[in-house]
Amino acid sequence: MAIHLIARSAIEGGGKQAYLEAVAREFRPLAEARGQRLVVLGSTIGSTARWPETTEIWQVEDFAALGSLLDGLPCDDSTHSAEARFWRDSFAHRGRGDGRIVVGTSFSPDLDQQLRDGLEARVFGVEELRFFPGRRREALAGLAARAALDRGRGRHLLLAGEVAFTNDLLAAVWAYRDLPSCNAYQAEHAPDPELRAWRTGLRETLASSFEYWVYASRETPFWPRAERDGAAIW
Amino acid sequence: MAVYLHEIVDVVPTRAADYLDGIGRHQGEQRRARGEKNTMLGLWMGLAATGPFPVAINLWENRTWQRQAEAMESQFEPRRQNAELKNWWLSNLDLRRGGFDRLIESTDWTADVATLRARGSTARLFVHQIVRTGGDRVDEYLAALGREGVPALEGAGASLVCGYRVCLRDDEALVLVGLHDGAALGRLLAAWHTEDDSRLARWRQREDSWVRHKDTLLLRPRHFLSSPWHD
Repeated sequence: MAIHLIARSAIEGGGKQAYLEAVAREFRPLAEARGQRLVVLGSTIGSTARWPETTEIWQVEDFAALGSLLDGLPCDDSTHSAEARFWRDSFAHRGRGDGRIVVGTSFSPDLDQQLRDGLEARVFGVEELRFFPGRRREALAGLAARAALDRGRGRHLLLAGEVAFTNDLLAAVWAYRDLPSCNAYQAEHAPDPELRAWRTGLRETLASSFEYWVYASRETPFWPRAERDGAAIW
Repeated sequence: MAVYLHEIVDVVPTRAADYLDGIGRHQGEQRRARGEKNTMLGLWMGLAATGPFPVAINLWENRTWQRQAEAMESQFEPRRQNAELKNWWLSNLDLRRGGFDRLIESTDWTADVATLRARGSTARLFVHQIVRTGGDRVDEYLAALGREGVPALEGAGASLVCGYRVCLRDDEALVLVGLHDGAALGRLLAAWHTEDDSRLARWRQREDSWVRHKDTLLLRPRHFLSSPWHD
């Protein structure tokens, strides 16, 4: 059961490009050496949420790998490791941040399979779904059904799971081919009777949902292969 | 039941350790000068994994409401103000930007600082949860947590569970779970997300009766139960 870490960082002093490049150049090799895999790295699209901000999504294989990762995470009293140096230096570009641990579900797609299938995306929707406590199974079933509905509508489920340590939150990350795709999805989303019926059917289960969009950096494994030279994000 | 001061502090990035050492030294030396016992439960740094970061958490046992009143007087009452506290407050502005405090009361099943020190602790990683219940149901939740949740969590590897009622409101509790290390937390999480008939699975289902939301921080202690300035 894959575990995902979603981290958002508030950018300070115009340092978004520098922070994203530092994550790709300095942090990514350290993270990969201990078994973390980069899933998404990019800029939160300010029109949909807080700005300026970056979003990182990482995957570890299982709970044991998560435990090792937590033991190794640097804090302000970590002094010697390369990760501790990155932790300290990164705050030249960022201020406060926020994290989530997401425990994958049985229907959360396999990352490697999606890469083999040739999934390409420049935009990712990071969604948090709040359900009524006690309705977890129904909420998960609802999310699985939504993924099936959206597959033909240009919104592809990249990962889904329960937000760890909560009893009322699910998280889902959706892949969109590009900016026109995610905007077109919104244009068609409200009037689509099938999607409206889906929401109505879950009134006793889902309390609310919130999605924001991330524009990927070229380090993201799903960035179109033919375009390895994506523009720098500022 | 003892009264505690619980603080979530927005530390300046990269300065959490300096902040915690500074407040630990100040509090420890002040208490020692007054001939009082160690009242620090713990000073922690938040990991950049769940919830906002960077944060620091302070938890002080003030024991009684009278002692709590004295602590407030030392900050605000014109004739009781503590000059040393004022000096610390104003000279460490580069270490923290603000925070959010809660006055909390321990449950009857939660050990105080002296008892925890006597027992000793191997916890090096803590799950810190602000638990929101339905209105006026927090006492029911905490009683059930002590009766059913604590044995279930300890059976799944938790080395320490403490529960507190948040004062001045009727729908919040603070729960602190200590674990030996990340591997122990990984095992606890794996058990939590396994659907079987274990005690932990039953507790997971049971807590939905009361719990409406949980905000969680994972903490690493800078000082827990003792420090260079607390005996």
